[in-house]
Amino acid sequence: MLIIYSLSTKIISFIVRILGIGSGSTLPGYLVTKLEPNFLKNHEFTFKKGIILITGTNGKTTTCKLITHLLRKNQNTVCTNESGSNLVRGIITTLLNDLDMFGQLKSDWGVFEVDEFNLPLVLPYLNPKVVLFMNLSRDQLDRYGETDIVMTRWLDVITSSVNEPFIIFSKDTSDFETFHQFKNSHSFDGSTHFLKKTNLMGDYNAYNINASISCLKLLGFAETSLTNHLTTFGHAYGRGECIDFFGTKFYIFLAKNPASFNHNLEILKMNEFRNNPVMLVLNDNLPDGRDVSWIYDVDSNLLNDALMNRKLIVSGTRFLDMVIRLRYAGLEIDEKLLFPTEAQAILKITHLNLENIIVLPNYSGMLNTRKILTGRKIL
Amino acid sequence: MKLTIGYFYPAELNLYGDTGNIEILKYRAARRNISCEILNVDTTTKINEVLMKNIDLIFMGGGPDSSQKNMYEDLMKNKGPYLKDFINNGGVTLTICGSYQLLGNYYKSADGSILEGVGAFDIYTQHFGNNKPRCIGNTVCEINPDLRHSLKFNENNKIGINVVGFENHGGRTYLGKGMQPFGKVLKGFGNNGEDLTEGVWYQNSIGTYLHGPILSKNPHIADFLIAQSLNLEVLDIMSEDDLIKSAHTASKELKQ
Repeated sequence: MLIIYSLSTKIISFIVRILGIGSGSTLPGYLVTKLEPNFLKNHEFTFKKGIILITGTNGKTTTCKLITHLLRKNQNTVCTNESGSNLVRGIITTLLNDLDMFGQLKSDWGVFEVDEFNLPLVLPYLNPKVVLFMNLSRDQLDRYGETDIVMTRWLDVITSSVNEPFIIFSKDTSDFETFHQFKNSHSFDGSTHFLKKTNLMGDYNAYNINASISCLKLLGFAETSLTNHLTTFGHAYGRGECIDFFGTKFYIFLAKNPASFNHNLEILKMNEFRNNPVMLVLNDNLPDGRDVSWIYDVDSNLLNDALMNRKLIVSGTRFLDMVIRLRYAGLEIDEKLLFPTEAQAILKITHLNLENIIVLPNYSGMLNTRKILTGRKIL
Repeated sequence: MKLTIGYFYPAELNLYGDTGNIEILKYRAARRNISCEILNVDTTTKINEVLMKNIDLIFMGGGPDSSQKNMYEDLMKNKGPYLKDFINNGGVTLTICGSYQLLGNYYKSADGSILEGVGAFDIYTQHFGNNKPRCIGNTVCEINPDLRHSLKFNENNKIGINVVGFENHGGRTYLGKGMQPFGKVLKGFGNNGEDLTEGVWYQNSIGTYLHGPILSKNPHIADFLIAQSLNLEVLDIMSEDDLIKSAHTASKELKQ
């Protein structure tokens, strides 16, 4: 049965990509869950060396990509949900794609980022060696409810799990103090000595790096075998990556909730980005959450400080909400630079012949922007 | 001219952008050459008549259940009676979601337990557990005609008869016999998804479930609060409001 699912997955993914309607990284898994709602429970997925799960509000994709990078540089094969498809369906698709023709998983390791709310749906059946908790803050309140609800779900699933994975968590998230109760718990902090060896921007990346190194050291890797490969790590898509589009360099910094937005505003204040124009994208599509009130939890002094005296282009389905928020933070907005879609904004940017532009999109805004700039769809 | 806003429990009751309401009031006051002082009132603040006399406008936001536990005892024992007096004596108040509920008579949880409220508003709230869905979505209401025809509201209204926002609550609120709603629901659940009422409007106080934050696309409500607090007639027009009106209008078309 698994072999049939696996084959179908590969065919469906291929067709979806050929037709250019997506990346094929979630549809197969979605269909499988329709046919077999308890799919993960019914089938065993054991990688030769183990599974690592990464969850939290921010930092999942970068950490997942970094752990994958470090494992591969150490001659391990890794199965990972590369395109950020971190719901159950995305993980199922990723697993099915890794099966060989005998229905066996090919890779040494499974490294998966998991959406905060979906962790309880995945953890009990995957028996990971490690679960990494990056942080927890408000994000998509209309989908997730308050952070206490997420914490309660996490604690329930950990205490009821049969095998005892390493629980690795950020020291600096106060909600996570309760993780100390678990035998196999370890914490990481935001100290920057490893960050300096990379070319990642933003001090918040220190957490991502320290989490990755803690995780792999606990799994038996020597520190030097990890730190030697930090310089070769590039930005995850949409997290500080640079895309050249018709002569304009677009620097994309995903800003999908107050924490990530504030962090990115700090980056904007750095010398190399000072005075660059900024394109903001605020959508309320399915992956974004429909309640955009969170933009008022972005620090207004920081907004004012970071965005003052720059050309600001505002776009997205809720561009008007963003413009008003910026106005209330004391920023002047040129009403000729407001666009309901990313495409219109990008077109204007190319007409303006700008050398560099920083993009601060929320989630679907990042996907749409990348699609236009690279000509390919991620999800 | 100075506007002193009493911001109650800023650390616990600041859910999802509600603090933005304070920022908006400050900005709109400043544009009318009114300086603004924010007086944070929390569990450590010693409350008395003198403190309350200095306050022109009270704001309380929403908060998650866990935060509400932290301030509940202080609210009931210390701050509550002063809030009740303030509201009953015509003080201007804007309270959102969790604080709106706590200013009522009681909150009945899904397990049947009753949490007593301050009793400033004659309302009660009930959570039906899994029997009824959470009330979530974009909301449009028609402002209570008595409120919008009142002089201070009408003179400063450049937007229209509606109020727009986003609601997200499990508790469903029911108004007592003499209580007027803040608005009539055109789209959304409002207080309880049954009687088409949204929020409460009592004396000069507004209780509502609308986030957004509420004042972001409803500047007419913001200006009413400022005018009523300081007993001003007509506030200067703000050029920013053209764009805000567009946002307000666009919000009416959002899918619930």
